[in-house]
Amino acid sequence: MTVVSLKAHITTSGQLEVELPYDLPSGDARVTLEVPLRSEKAKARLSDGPPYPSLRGIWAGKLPDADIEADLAEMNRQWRKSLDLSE
Amino acid sequence: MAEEPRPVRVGPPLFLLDTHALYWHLVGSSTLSAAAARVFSEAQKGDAVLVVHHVVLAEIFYILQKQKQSDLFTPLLADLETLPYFRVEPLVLEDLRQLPSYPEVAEMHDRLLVIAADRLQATMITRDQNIRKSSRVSCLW
Repeated sequence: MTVVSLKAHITTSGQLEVELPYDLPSGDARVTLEVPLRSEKAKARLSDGPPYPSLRGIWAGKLPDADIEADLAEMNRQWRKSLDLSE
Repeated sequence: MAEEPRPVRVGPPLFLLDTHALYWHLVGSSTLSAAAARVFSEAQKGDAVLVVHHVVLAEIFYILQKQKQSDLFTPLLADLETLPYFRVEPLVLEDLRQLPSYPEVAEMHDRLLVIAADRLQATMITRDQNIRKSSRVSCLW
């Protein structure tokens, strides 16, 4: 077994893209990833470990507890109208 | 030609949030179903990942703007970026290529969410009957 260090890219859809040297043998390999954390704030939140803070109710009292589907349907109607598309 | 097998996902299960599910969670609404609320709790414990699509964020921004509360948007983005159980999912070209293959989901934003959920093998947290009728993704409410 030997260790090869390479640069790779993690896509937004969670896939790993890596270009391998041509002379690596085919077959199974073990992969270890070194990834940067997103920010100092993220590091702090991760180091706390679960349970993580909840966002439940952070907008309570600031926004109505309402069915927003009608608003979103209205938004779509306006966009369709501006694009002159039929309903 | 035989369809290529899907890669097997590892790690906690993914749940893609519809706009109303995220909104009702943020306002602390009892309209959020018990099953949906349980998923949020599981995620807090590190046992699930909540996917928030760019389309959902755009719709949330529209609601905030309509309610004259646009200032709440940037702090929300910061929370979603830093809390490890959230994953912000962009609209990707691969999904746009799939648009013609999902005609059963008529509304365009809904279709983009269904396509992303299907690609990510995520369960959708939605009350929307049109999405729930689509057999492409599993839904929970």
